[in-house]
Amino acid sequence: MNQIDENPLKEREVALVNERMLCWIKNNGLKLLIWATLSIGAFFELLPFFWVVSTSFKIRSQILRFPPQWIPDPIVLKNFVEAFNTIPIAHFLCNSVVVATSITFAQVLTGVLAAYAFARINFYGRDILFILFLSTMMIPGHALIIPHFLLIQKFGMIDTYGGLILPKVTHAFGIFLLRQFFMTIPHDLEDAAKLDGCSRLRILFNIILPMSVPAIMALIILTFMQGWNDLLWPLIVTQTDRVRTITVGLGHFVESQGHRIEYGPMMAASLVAILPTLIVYLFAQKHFVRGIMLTGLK
Amino acid sequence: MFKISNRARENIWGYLFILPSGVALSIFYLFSIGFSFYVSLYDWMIKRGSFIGIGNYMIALTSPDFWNAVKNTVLFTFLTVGMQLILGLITALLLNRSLRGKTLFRAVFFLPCIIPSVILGIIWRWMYSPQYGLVNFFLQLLRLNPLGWLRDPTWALPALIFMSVWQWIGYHMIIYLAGLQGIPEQLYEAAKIDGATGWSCFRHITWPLLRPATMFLVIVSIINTFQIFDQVYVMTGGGPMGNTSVLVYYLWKEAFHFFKLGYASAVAWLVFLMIFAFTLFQLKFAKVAWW
Amino acid sequence: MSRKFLALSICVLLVCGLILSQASLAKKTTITYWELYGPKAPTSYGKIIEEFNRTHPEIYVNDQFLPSHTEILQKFLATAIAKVGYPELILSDICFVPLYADTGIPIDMMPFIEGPNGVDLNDWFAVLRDFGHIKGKQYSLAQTTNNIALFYNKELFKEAGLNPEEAPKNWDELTLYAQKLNKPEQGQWGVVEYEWVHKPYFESLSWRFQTLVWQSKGRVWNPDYSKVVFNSKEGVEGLQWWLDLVYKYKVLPLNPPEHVFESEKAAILIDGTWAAGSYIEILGDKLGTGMLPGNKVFATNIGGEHLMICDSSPEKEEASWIFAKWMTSKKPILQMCIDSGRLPPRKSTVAEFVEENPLWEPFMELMKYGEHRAPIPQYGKASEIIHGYVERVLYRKMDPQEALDEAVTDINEMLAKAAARSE
Repeated sequence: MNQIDENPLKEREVALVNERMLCWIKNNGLKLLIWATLSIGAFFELLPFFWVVSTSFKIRSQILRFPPQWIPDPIVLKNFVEAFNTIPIAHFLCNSVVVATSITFAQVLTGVLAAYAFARINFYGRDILFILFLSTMMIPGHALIIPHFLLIQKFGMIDTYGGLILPKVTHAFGIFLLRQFFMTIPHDLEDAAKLDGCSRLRILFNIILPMSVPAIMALIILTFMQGWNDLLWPLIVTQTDRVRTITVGLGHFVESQGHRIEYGPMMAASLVAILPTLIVYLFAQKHFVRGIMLTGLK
Repeated sequence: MFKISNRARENIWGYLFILPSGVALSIFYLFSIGFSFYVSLYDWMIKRGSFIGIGNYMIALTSPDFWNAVKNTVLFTFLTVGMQLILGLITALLLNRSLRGKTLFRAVFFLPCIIPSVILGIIWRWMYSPQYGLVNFFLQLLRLNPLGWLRDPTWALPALIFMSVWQWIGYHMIIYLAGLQGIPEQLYEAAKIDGATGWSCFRHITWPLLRPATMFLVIVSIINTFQIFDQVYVMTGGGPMGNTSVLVYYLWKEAFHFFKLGYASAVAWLVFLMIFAFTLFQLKFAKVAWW
Repeated sequence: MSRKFLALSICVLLVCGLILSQASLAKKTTITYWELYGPKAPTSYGKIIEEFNRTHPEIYVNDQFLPSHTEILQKFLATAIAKVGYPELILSDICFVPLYADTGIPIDMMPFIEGPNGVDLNDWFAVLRDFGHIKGKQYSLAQTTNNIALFYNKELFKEAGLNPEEAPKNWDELTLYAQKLNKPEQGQWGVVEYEWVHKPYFESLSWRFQTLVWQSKGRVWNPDYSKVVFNSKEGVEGLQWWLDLVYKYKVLPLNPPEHVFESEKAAILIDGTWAAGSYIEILGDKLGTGMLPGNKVFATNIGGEHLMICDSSPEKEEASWIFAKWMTSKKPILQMCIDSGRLPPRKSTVAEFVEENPLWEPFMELMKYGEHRAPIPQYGKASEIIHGYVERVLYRKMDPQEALDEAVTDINEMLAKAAARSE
């Protein structure tokens, strides 16, 4: 008696659960699919980084193995020791810091001054000069390496920090970006300050700049990245290890091994080289992304 | 003290403020590009030689190596940028919905953009190892034959293309995301009321409103990709058989390996003109273009 | 107040430190040396230089590492433009010495060589001495030399039923051996060439190709080095042999896997002798060495690294000479060569070198049959042209005779232009 009653009940329960699942899949299935696709994409974006880490800690016989071995066993530090012994990675990183910081500082300083003038000061020939400034953005970097080389050589600055920094001391892009931003700042505070007799410089530094933090941050990040990641110009201007940056250092490391490359130390060196960037990115990635978005929305 | 009029004071301040950047830009951009043209008119090897006018340009335009570099660069640029745009757009569309972990995905996709191309090139060189590399490993998983990649004349350029696409998807995605976020929701709602499907929503609302972003990306990416150097330097050295010799690598080699500074300057100017012409074309015909 | 004081004292200390370090350097004659090895070279090159600095307190050698011969050459040429910024001492690949000399910056070392603190130039192998001897002046001093030789894996020989103590001596034997040793199912190659297509440096393929021409008794250049003549039947014969090995017998890979010989996936290897050190380290007793297989005759290409002193002040040139003499004296040479497979350039050191390691004997034997490349500044460009065409032949994009004909035409054109320009 009871059995006959229970069966239809159980059937209905099962049917209800199935229906709920189907409903859930219909509603969220698309989301799941998207999530899965993005995850696969993210996996492939990160794969090379996993691989660098994995290779850096392997012994040679496990590096040269196919199919590849994912987890090193044993985990060794020998590759890092060899990398540090062969090229002065720390020295190169320091040089990169010096160069990138100097370039960023110079570009931001000159950029802020010029952008403020273009945005707020009504001087004779302003618009024409602005267009002239902007026109320099049309000149692609590669076209300038030979004249820069000849100039820097004339100044006797080959293989010096000055040679690395000087040609990049200003860039019209920053001026453009900041001017656009400055123009969106309302005039009232400035007008009040002018009535109080504030000098131009003080207005700039005490009023405009604090209100422009997002744009300045974006500029700092972009400029620093460009200065850090640049290869072509440091490759041309440096001759010895003295002021060589990390990008050139690693490029030379590869070249010096000919084709008999030892991948262990190579990957270890690469890992150390990207570590600073990774760490900064971990903490500030929001700003990186925001910076890029800001520049795109011109 | 001098009696300086307000007008004059404005002018002085203006010029003072633009002086530092103005001087630097004049020397390192305007003067430099002119100087580059000057150098290109001479047989400038280690020292300035004789004046040969358009001689260097004629040599370049009749040099098979130059045209080889043009071919490689054009092929590389259009294929790479095309794929970056498409994949970047798809990723942005997928990511635009309110998903969990959106920030994380964004951060992950953007990560390769901030790492120096040289280092990524070194890593990918290892990944492309025909015998022990990851890429061939995945090929074999898919039951395909392993390829020679960087040492194979046919596959070296595709290898570079693939790597560049991998690197810059994040950048395109972020620009498109910003563009997508600028599209008001009401448009979609209105369209849905009128019974529009997903595809026609995309075609008539999303795509046209993304035009500024697309324009920006097309111009900026093509200008940058046209000048690729780092990856070629560290992964292939222009080979094999010159199949990955791209324009900037070619001109760098001519200038700083063979010290044919005059010739290389001419090549640099030709490349400059190509980029310039293309950008002008883009800006002028943007409205009439296929997008 | 205390923070300012701290900052001030740190600054003072830094300044003092800087002054002190400069002062200690000021008493010494500082010479900058651009070389190829860096501190952690297999030959402990950096340590050898350190010892010099220690035993010669009045001289300080500022040792700068550059990644390759072409890199040193380029950086040097860049400084040659302004005639400033070049170092006092340079290490160069033998084939670039004429190009360096042509810039007018390296000095003639004869006064030093024949002077009171000189060396006996006749102790050097004739070919090494003569290569740096241009128009009556001695521009370079060979520090080490090398050539192309044959390496093989004794164990794999045994497995294939071959005598592990006998290396193949000519092309036919090599082809035969390679076929016996080739086991595609096991991923094992019969023979592998390292100085080859897959190497990005153009000189590798070119200098190996030249040995093929010589081994068939052909010539690469004409006697006064004004023209190239390798599009002869000897040149074609060599290329055809290579093509057969790659495509007909399939014993020679076009793109060998990395470290194929060290991971024992190749039985025979043709490589420069300087690599021997790393092979011994990995293969130990399994390593066998032999002479480069000839065809009608034995022939190999002589390489080497040469020291050059650049034009600077008399006391710096003197200091550079003292260093150069020291680096080419017996003990440092043996230190550099014994474990690495680089060969000593001085005949008086050969006996001890071979005694230390009998594996090196075939290399020294090969020196008798060593030919050298063209001692002209345009050699580099010619070599690059050769590389381009031979590459195309190996990828079967061109026919051997056609490729060699075009290469010869291109090179002769280039030489003619260079001759015209120098007039």
